[in-house]
Amino acid sequence: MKYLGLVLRNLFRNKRRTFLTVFSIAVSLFIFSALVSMPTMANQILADTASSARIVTHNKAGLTYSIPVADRQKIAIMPHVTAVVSQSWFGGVLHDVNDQFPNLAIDHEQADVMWPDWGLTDAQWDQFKKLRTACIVGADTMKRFNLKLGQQIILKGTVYPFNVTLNIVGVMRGKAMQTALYFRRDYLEEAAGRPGFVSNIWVRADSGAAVPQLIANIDEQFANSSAETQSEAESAFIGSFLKGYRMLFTLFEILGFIVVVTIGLVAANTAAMSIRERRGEIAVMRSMGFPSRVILSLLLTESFVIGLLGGLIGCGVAFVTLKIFSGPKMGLLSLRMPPAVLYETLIAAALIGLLSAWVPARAASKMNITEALRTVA
Amino acid sequence: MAVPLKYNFRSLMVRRVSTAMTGGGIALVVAVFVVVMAMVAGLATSITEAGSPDNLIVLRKGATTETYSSMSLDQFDTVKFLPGIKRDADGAPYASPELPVQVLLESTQGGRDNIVIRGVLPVALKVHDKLHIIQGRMFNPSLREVIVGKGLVGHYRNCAVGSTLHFGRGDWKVVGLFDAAGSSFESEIWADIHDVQADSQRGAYYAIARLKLQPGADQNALIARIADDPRINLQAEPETQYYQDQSVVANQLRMLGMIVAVIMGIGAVFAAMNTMYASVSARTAEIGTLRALGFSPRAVLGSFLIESLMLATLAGVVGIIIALPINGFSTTFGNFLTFSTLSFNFRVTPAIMLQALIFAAIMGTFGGWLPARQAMRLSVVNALRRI
Repeated sequence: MKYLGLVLRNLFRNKRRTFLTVFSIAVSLFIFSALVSMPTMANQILADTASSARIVTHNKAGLTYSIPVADRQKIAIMPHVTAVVSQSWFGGVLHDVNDQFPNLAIDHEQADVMWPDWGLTDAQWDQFKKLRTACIVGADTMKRFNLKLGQQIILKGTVYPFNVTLNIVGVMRGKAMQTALYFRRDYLEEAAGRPGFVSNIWVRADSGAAVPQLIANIDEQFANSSAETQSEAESAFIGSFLKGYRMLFTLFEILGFIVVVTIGLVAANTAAMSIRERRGEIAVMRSMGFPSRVILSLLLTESFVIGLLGGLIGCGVAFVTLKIFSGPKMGLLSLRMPPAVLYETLIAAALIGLLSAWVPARAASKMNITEALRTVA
Repeated sequence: MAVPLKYNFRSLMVRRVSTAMTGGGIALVVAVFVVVMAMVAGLATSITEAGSPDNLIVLRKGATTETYSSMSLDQFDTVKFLPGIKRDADGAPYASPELPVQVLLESTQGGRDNIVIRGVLPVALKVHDKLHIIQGRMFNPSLREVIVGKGLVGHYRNCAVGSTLHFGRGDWKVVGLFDAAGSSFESEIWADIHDVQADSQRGAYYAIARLKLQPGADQNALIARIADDPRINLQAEPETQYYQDQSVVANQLRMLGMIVAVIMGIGAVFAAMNTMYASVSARTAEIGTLRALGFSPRAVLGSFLIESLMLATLAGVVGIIIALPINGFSTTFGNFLTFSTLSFNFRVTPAIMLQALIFAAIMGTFGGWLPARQAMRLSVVNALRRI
């Protein structure tokens, strides 16, 4: 890279122009990476759960209708079923009614078989099974309310007319919903006066291949009963929650694309301007003997460096901003920048740099030397 | 004496490609701004239009939305006859008990969405005065008949008058369509409250009550009475306030839209600045000539600023025109607060268009300011040397 010094000197010649270009690219890629993070994260969540062997069974009428807990036994004896855990939504709050986060009650007997990817140790699962008032909390909620392991907390019921007192026995990481809190359903059942209904039932199949058949079996079992069920694979279930945001995600993706196109225009404009200004100097270099290829690669490298620099700054700032502002605003999703977005942004930056200078650089490297020398100031 | 505008206009035309690219960038930023603000305006209107200024909504104490509220029949019967509530000629109060329930409904694009089925009594039509039945008739009680909001037509199957809908635990017959001034009620289906109670097995409970106030009634006294009376012990607030609080999602989106627009605007300003600086350095000789002719430095400053403004405002107009087709575009949004899907239309209001133009002008001013100052400060002799 013997001409690197030349490239850098050229970049610093018109500092103001370089600065402005780098920063307009940085600003736009900041928006791009921040906007595209959400849909990318959502798609990743769906992709992760695509191979899961878990099924969710709920009332066919809707998620706010309940199903009898007795359905558990009928599902447990079906072939290919390795675990059955029923779940009831509680909807309590810790302090303020406006600080909501998902909290649910689950059966403790087979919870560890159902969700081995929740990042809890065997000892913690044991505690959950032994202590009636045990609860496990996602890392984000622990941080949000400043909770400690072993702390006793009171969840105030908003729909249920009572509070529950719980002891935190484990912090969930891994694939668990980081904003959720789970406590024991037998505790809830007793406090609510044993209604015998649950929100939904999770079923674990012995393999992903068995899932479709199992779904059909479960729904057939309860067809024509007073609580008809609809079972879906875990990814479809999560997908249905994210469906409401489809429009927003599509809008963000389109906005992101427009932002990239806009900065492409900006960068192309600047590249064309600066190359046009240097016409005379390029003519001199060519008459000294620099081959066209070298001129071309010099110009392209300059533009590439500007693009990449802008991309690094924009991406970096977006990454830090998302980390700082990643409060659980969306309820289910806590926002981070996935690595995929980082790569995408840097590649976009590099491409913008290269492509925006392509046409003017080629023209400059191939122009007629005598014509160009005529315009030397 | 100011530099003639013709000079600026022709300068822009001379450097056509540069002008077009910068103008294109600004136009796109303005278009993005208009689209996002139109979405926010549509969403906010849909949510806040639901509130009437002379209605109170009564919920369980501590409930932030009707989804998490419940009240017993006794509580409602006590509230119903409180003074201050409007009554009709027979003395029946304008008090509407309601039970909204989320059910899954088949959409025309395949799959099912959460839609609100609102259990109501016929008095609801009197309390919700912005709501009108535009086709068919109101449902009769206990026959599992429903009326459908017009926002659902086209997005969900079997919504026409006379068809049979299937949700909850069985079939329901559509007997009418209603219009609700573009509010969120248009994304709902209304049925007899007893049918909804039975279907959802909620027991004999209501979720909320809506009361229409007598003109001149003491609203605060009624709210205090509802809260303090031990037989009632509920929370009442004006509907408009309730829906303001519900539009927190729309507000968050508006904030996001503003942030995106401002940041993109900064990027566009940098681009405009770049172009104007290049323009100034290319026209050094012209500037020198203008000064030699007798135009003052301020006139030169003004001229370049106006040129930048002209470019930006024109680009702004183009951007607005590009974004205009989105007006009226109907789409859906999953409202996490009510745990249901809301249909709304994008709305490009005159206010938004004005804001977009001002935004474009600001971008033009900021982009042109520093380069214009540099043009102003050029020494005449040095500038003329370049000829």
